[in-house]
Amino acid sequence: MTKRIFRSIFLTSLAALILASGFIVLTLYKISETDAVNALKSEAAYISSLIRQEQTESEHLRQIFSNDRITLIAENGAVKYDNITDASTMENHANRPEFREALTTGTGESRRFSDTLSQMTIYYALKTHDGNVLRISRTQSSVLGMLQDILPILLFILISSALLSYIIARYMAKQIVSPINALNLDSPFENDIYDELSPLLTRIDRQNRDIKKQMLEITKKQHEFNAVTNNMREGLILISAKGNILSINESAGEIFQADIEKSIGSHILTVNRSVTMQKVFEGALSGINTEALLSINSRHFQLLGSPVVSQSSVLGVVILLLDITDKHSAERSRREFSANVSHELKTPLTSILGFAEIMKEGLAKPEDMQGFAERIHYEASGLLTLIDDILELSQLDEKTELPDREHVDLFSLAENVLSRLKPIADKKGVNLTLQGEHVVVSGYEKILDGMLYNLCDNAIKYNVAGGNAKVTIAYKDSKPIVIVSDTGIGIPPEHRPHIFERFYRVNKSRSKEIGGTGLGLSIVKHGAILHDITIDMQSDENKGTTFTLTFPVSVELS
Amino acid sequence: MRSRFDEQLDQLNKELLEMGALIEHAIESASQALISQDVVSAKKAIEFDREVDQKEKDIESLCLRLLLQQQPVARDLRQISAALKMITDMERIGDQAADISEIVIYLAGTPYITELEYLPQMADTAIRMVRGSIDAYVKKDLALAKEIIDMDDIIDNLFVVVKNELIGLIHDKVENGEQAMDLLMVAKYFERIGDHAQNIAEWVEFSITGKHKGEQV
Repeated sequence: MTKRIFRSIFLTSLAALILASGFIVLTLYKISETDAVNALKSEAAYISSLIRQEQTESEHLRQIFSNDRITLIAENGAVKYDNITDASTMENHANRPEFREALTTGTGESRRFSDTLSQMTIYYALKTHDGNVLRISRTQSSVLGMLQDILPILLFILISSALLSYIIARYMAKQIVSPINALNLDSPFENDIYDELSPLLTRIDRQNRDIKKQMLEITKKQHEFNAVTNNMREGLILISAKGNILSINESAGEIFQADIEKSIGSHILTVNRSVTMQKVFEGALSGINTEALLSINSRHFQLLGSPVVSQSSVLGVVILLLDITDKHSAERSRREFSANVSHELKTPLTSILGFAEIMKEGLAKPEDMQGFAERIHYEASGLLTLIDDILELSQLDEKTELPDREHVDLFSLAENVLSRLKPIADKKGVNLTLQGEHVVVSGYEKILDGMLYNLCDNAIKYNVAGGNAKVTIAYKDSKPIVIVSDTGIGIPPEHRPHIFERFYRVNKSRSKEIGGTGLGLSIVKHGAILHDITIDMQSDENKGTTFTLTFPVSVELS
Repeated sequence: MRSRFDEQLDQLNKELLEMGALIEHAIESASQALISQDVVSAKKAIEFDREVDQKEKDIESLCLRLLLQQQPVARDLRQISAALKMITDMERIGDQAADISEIVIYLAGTPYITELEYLPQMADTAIRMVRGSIDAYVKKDLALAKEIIDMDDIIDNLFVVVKNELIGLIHDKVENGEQAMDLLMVAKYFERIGDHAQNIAEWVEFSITGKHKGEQV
């Protein structure tokens, strides 16, 4: 800007300077030349009149004092007199143009430049009465000479005008630019500035509106995207091809315990450095959908990496994190269960097979046959109980095949259960009691029966001779409760967390003589889940155990 | 030009993270191998160490290229020089994980002379220190770096405890001597890993504050 303004100011002043000085010099020259010619003419006329009066040419001429050069030339061109040089040494002047002109017309004029062109001599010739020619000449500066004279001044003016132009250019540039720099671009029309800028301001205003509109759209989309991703339970991470995180949702941030704001823009490795993550990312980056399992703080996640492909090049990677901890543990317990079931089924069958084989081979004595048959019967009925339990449990797992809920009187149910268990209790010497009121709940009678049966069965089995087992049916805080308590051997504290697991036995060595399948409390637990019943267990070693089943209030008498 | 430099710095950062991840896995595999006498994990740790060595060379040449071509100043220079120092310590950690694994493979056939009690603790502390030092680098977390530097005392104390225990075992039975020596080596390696993790944390501190061990460099 400064440069441009400087150039135009300087060029303008330069042109003005050249033109002005050219005109002045030419005019001055014209005036001085005309002056000179007039002076020469009058001087020549004066001298020629002198010559006519006196008749004495050279003697008289010598007395005339003049700044100009006076030469008298004879008709043949020989110089008769010259007031500056000796006439005899001068060459013949017959060829001089002013001389020849004077001879023919009476007067003659000519101009000749010096060798350097800076000086010019003006000649004026006049034919005298006696045929001689009087020539007067004057030397003065030529146009060029005049220019040469004023050149230093011109140069001085030129330099000062350059300097001045530079200073003015800078000042002007600043003056012009500073209000432009101070423009309020947000509201362009509120600026008080040159009219020349209004087209620009209009454009800025239009662009501002466009930008605002686009920003609104983008933020709206971003909000929508965030709303969707942040409400996902699954973790979602968008990664650029270079491995930088473009977006990470709240769930993913929680899973990796990463700050979402800080994570965006940083490399995926800053969030998780596991080999699994690297493999999934690199796999997806090569264009293949990749899956892997990742464990963080004893939770299990399935990592799904998919490439984001556009025009056959991978632009980035989307990684989805699914929490499969529950599925994982369910699968593990299923695996364990089937392994346990096979084992539990195999043990009685092996002994049945053994006895049967002995009998088949005829190795058994006839008097032992009775005992063997009893053993086979015992094992087979145990097997049947186990299979019944497993069936019951698997029915509980398959909740979909359940019939409708019905009204169940818990007191009557307990009466029924206890009457069935009476023989076993008598055999063991355990005293069974039932107390409380008739409480009706809605539920599945068969399952509730199974639950109560197993609890009471345990209360008898893990009891001591002469001990008590008591069932109480009542309301507590208007919720139906069933309490099954015994005065038995109790459960050691370290086993308490595991007693509801399938096939879990507190005392593995004694379980054979006590009997039971290890599935009883599992059935209770699953039944409880089905009925929204909370189970509370209190146990003192060698003093007894109390199970309290609390039904949800809404079930009562519906 | 500038953006290319930034790109290269990002690349350096990424490679450092990858190397950090590798040494974490190497030391985790090594300690897993030690605790459960697992030869497969031990071999995995040795495999990781090879990758770590390769990574060190890559990062080193990247750092030198950056220094020569871009002539970085101030913060960038600090980051690059800290990276150059850190990879040396990281490479040593990888080596020590491999050394532990070799001892584990050697001991694989014979049961341990004692229930390992303090060695798993040392392993755990070492893993936490290595992970923490890399986390500190990732998050530019000065407090975490300081925490790691202080954690070195824990692992040093554990080493003394393990040493005394092993001396006791040799006292009880001279035949224990051979394995006791091997276990002492393992303990020493873990202690060294702790030192290296501490060094890394110190360089992290340098790259953030410009001060190494409290002194202006």
